[in-house]
Amino acid sequence: MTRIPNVGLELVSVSKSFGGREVVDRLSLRLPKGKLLTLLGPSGCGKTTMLRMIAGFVEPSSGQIFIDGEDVTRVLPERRPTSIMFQSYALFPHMTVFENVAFGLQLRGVRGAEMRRRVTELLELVHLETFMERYPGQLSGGQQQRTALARSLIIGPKVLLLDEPFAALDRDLRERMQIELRKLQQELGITMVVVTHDQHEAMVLSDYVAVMNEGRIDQLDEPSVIYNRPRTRFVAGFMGIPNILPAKLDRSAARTSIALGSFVLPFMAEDVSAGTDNAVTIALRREEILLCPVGTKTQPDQGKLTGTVRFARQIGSQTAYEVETDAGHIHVLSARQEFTPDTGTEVALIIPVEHIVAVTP
Amino acid sequence: MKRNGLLLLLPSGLALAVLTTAYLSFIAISFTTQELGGIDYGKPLGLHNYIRYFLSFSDIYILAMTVVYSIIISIVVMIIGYPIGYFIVRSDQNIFRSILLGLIVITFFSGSVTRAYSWMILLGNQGILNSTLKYLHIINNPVRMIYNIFGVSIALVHFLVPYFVFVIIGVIKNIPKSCEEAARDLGANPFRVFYRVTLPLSIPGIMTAATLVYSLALSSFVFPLLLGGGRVQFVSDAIYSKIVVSFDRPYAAAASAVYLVVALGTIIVCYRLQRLVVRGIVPKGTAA
Repeated sequence: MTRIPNVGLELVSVSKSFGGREVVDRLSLRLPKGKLLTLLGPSGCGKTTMLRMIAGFVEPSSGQIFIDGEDVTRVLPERRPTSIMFQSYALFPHMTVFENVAFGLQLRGVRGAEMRRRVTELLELVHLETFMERYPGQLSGGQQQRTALARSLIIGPKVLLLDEPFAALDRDLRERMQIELRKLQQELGITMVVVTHDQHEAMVLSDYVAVMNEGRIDQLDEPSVIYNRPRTRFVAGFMGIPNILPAKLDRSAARTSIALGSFVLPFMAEDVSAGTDNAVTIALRREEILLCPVGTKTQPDQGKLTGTVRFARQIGSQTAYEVETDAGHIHVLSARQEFTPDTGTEVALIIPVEHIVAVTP
Repeated sequence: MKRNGLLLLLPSGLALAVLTTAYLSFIAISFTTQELGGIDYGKPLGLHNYIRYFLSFSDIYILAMTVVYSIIISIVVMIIGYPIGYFIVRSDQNIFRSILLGLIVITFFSGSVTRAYSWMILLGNQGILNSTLKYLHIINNPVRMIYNIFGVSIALVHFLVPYFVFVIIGVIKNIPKSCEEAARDLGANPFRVFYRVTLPLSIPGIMTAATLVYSLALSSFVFPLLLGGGRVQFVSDAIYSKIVVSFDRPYAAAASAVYLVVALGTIIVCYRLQRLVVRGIVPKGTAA
């Protein structure tokens, strides 16, 4: 069975149940060759199980997995053109960095000078050429991670799988390694699937993000779309949007609007399907709400609410506010230094129309 | 602070004193002379018991054979025990695992004497095995399987396998499954995963378990006594008969002292070997 040629990885209605519980539920997706997809979700959403199914360690209960158009659903892990980097890195503690990286080549019958050349080349690529003779226990976390990456890359996998690749690193190093990995991925043009629970990591790394919830993909989009226009309440919540409010859709006028409490806000999404009584759920990203003095004029493409500041707290260069409006409490994160109202102050909240997002409840 | 430290040493010091006094007094006896025809011992003092021991071919032979058989038995236990332990840890067949583990636990807790007699019933000239073989006309005359080293070895292996398995279970459990999976992922079939990853990572643990089993084999007493039928003697049995049969306590004490030194010596060699192997496999600075 041949598939569309530029699809690197395709999952067709893949399911896995453990003891009657659907851990992965009829999951389908297509990932173009050379792109990086992140499976993003909380623990227990099935993302690691999905990754292990792609690697071949878990057999799907049903469905098919295609790599470069070839059905690999029943192929043993050692024969799959995939390579996985484990969260713990799983380096062989009894082998040096060189031996770890050479392992996959030796199994493919590459030996001698050719093997040494390829291992050295790859170790240079990940800047480990001076650590070849060290054992994993003598390396720092970042060096261990790069060793694991080199060990996975040496076999030239068609799909590289990474399970929480940065979880074991501290923050500074994590950010550096994320950028390094992204550059390497683009340079090598390798198809990758990364599993993570860190939305920030997903934003930095990915061409596509699939947000997973209870074994299904809630939304699969480019990172900016996931960030700005979450489609479900779960995705909005997981992407750190604290303001999820019930509203009513009004299509009667020439311009669609929504009623949020007693406020009427412009609204631009035409594709949203409202429930009974035109009920919709609105997600407002707290960084996108402008905190202004009452009486500030709005543009036609902005919505405005008014309320009273109930809580204010400085977080670094920004201030987090909780504003009580008659549509409910609204969280705002403001970087404006010129306007820092105290609790009890009446304020206006101005929201650009593109950041008024309807989500499925 | 310092006085408190000394005070805290007291309980363990006391326990050690009681335990070592027994050894030391026995070793002290080894320098005395047995009174002819009596049960007392006394002067003259000297090394004559040790000289006699080292000049006695039969006693040195027993000592050497005990060491050699213990090594062979330990290797056999290792070969049988490792797969059992591996299966118990890594098999996904829960029922077989539980049955196997249950059998090992039962074996571990059943008494030595009962087990020795069970082996007699099973392996004796009129035993179940011989009767069955005769009934099936595979043999005409009973094959002697007890009162020789074969019977003793079978019983000892049976006795020691659980010790080995219990130690090795912990060792194999500590090998990260992800390491084995990584090896598979890189293209190794299960057999290669085993001998390139699992086995090398278990060697330090195998050495520990083998040392334990070896020291237990070396000091075995009941199985050679009952299943050896006087023909097979391990050092402990020889010492025992010197005390209760020939009433030569100073000589028995000298034999014990030599035996203790040899036993400790071989165990230290095992330990050194273990450290050497561990250093080769798991270099310093590694957490594993």
